[in-house]
Amino acid sequence: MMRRTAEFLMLPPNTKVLLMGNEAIARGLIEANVKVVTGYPGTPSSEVIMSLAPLSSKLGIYVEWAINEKVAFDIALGAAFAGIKSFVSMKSPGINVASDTIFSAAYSGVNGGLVFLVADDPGPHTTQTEQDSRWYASAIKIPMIEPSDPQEAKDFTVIGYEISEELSLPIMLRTTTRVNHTVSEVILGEVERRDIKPEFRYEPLRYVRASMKWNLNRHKWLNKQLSKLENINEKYNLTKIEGDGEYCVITSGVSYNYVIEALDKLKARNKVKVIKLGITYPLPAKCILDNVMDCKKILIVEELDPYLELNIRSILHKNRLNIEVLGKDESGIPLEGELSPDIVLKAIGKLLDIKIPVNYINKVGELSLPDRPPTLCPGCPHRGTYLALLRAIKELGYRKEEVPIIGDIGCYALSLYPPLEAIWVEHAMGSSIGIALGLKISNYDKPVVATIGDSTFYHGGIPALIEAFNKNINILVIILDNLSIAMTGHQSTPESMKTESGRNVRPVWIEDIIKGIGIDKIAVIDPYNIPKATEVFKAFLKEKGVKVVIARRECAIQARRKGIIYQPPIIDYDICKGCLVCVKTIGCPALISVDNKPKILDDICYGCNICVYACPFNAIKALEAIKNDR
Amino acid sequence: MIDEFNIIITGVGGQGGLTLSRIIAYAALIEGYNVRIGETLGMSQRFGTVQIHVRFGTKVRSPLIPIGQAHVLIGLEPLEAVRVVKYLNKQSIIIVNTGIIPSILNIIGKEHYPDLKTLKSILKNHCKRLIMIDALSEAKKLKLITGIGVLLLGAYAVQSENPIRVKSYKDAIKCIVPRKVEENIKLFERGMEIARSYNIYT
Repeated sequence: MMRRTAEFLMLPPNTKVLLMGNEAIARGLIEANVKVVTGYPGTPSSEVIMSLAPLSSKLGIYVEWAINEKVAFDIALGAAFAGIKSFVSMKSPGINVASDTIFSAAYSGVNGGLVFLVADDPGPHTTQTEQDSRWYASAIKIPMIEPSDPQEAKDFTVIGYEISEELSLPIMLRTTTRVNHTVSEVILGEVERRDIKPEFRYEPLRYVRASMKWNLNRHKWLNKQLSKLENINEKYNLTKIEGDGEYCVITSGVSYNYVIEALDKLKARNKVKVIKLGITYPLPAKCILDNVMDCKKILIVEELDPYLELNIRSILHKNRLNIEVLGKDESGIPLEGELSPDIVLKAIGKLLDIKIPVNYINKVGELSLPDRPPTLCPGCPHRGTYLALLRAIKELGYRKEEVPIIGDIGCYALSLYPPLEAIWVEHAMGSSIGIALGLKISNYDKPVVATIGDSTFYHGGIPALIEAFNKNINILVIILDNLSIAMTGHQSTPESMKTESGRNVRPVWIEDIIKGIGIDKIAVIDPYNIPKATEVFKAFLKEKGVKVVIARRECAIQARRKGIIYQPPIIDYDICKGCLVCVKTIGCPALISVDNKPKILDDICYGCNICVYACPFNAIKALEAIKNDR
Repeated sequence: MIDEFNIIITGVGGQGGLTLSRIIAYAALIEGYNVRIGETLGMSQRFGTVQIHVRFGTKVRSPLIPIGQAHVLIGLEPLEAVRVVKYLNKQSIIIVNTGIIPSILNIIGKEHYPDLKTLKSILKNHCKRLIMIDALSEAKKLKLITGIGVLLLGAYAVQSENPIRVKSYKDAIKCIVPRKVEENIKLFERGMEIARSYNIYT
């Protein structure tokens, strides 16, 4: 985060500042007078809360991470019931978790505005699937708005609250990585200052989903509210029409920018009418019809699924308009990956039947260059945990290929890369334990291990661990506790004493939860102490029932920021045989080989001493004993 | 005013590419341009590849540079610089740090890090001018290993094609860099000095 973000967010209206899309959304929340902001971290959505949290007490806004997206949405909904504007942020898989509440929330509606951010990740850059969350808006039946750049990210956030309060419905602010993580100039707007006192009236017909008759009535109410969207679209000018001509491009979100630049490059701005949709559920059918009526050909430019395409084809069909549509099958725009200026340029060339200027064509092709996968950092405690686990499996006489290690979402998934190649599976938040259970329940005859991070355990792992104990299944669960949500930028967890907003909170310790379930085979280890950790894993792998090991050590990046760092070990080159076992087994960026001898890069070495245990000849010597206070 | 100016920054997580992109964008903003930064970070903090597209000009809308349209490549690491040559053309200028960072696959011997000479010849084929600087050694002299970006920026700032004033770059450094502002300015000036006396035929 840049030094000035918090200052930028507080500048007066009409100032032009440089903001990332997510920071612009944070400013939008300030301008809209939102008072309750929560969510669960996930790239590319995290910076909204990260940039707003330091301003929490100054602005009198509750800004806190919640344990998961569903709890976050429930909190925001409670506030919105009471007339207080609230906000929830999540990455795309987050809506899978929160959707149970959101479906019902569409029937109850809200009093204070509620906008929730769902950040999709075409590419994908950092997400397990290329989920197209637009389908959720139409399945849940709540309005969805899509900004195309940081300025709109801010403006649409503010407009989102107006629409939400006008229709009494939650609003989905759907973005993609290229909006969340684009930085551009943003002109700030006025900040609403109004004190709202929370009020909540007894209205069971509206809020209780236990009467089927009431539910039917609320469904009718919801459909009535949705029918007002065509007017809302007009009132807030959410659809932009540019240019004119017999060709038409319909687009939304970041793709709009690629379209405009492509038309500029092909000098075709005056030949093509561009319809840029700001509201994409429900689609403004009348507005679209009015504008395509005289067109000969329509190109639809959208990332991932043919969501706009299917809706637009159906609108055209219903109105007996026989206009040629270039959708996914016809345009060459792929169903997978993110769009780029080049893909869109080609598609528009196809629409207009013109050749692309030669200087825009890739003449280099794909060079075959070695990959650079992300890796566990120097000093990463996860490296020690997995090394000890793999060592324990080997020393018990198992082959690596017969003891499944089920991984989960977090930095420790990077153990998939060489040299560790540890985890076999990684799916969804908290799934590791349930999947491990399934293997054992189906009588898989070797030990099965689930490895899960601290925050992932709180988020979605606890119910599965209760299931494991209750059914008394033989599994080893390792909770890799690095005391933060490291992968997404070191957010606080329920074990923290203080949150990013400065709020003092009461830590909930993982071992207390585990003991509360009734599990008694529990050990806490230091991942830097490989011999001890190996011993514990070996003992637990042999035992029956549910065993839990908490591998606890603060993330090295965080610890280093606090000034906690140790002396690098030294290599005794008189003893070193140059076998390079250390380099090849631990895979640490700070331990490289130079002329067939290992070398420690003191600049980046954290001094974790894990490499000391890797040398078969004891040639690597620790210089400093390492403390572990927590 | 320029219609479109594109700078691609590449490197490895932790080398300061993000800060460098903010400095350039802020300098362009000071000069009155609209700017866009598009980041391809992945899990960059964990020693992965980082590619950042910085664009400014009156017609700039997209956060990504079209293929073949980058005016400048600032490479914080040579292999990462080669990875983006498809964005360059025969008029591009490349400023690249010579200090290599082996990937974890290179370290454990699964893949071979290409020869620096090979990388240099690929880069040379994709530009008008290539400037290679041992920026890390210079940065180490000032005890600021995260400063290689500003040093390379300084080297670009004295090229005749640079559209932004030196003062705007310096003001942007003062505004964006969180710590050691003076040292960063010194590194920027050191970059200018090195580039002025650089022999492109070496």
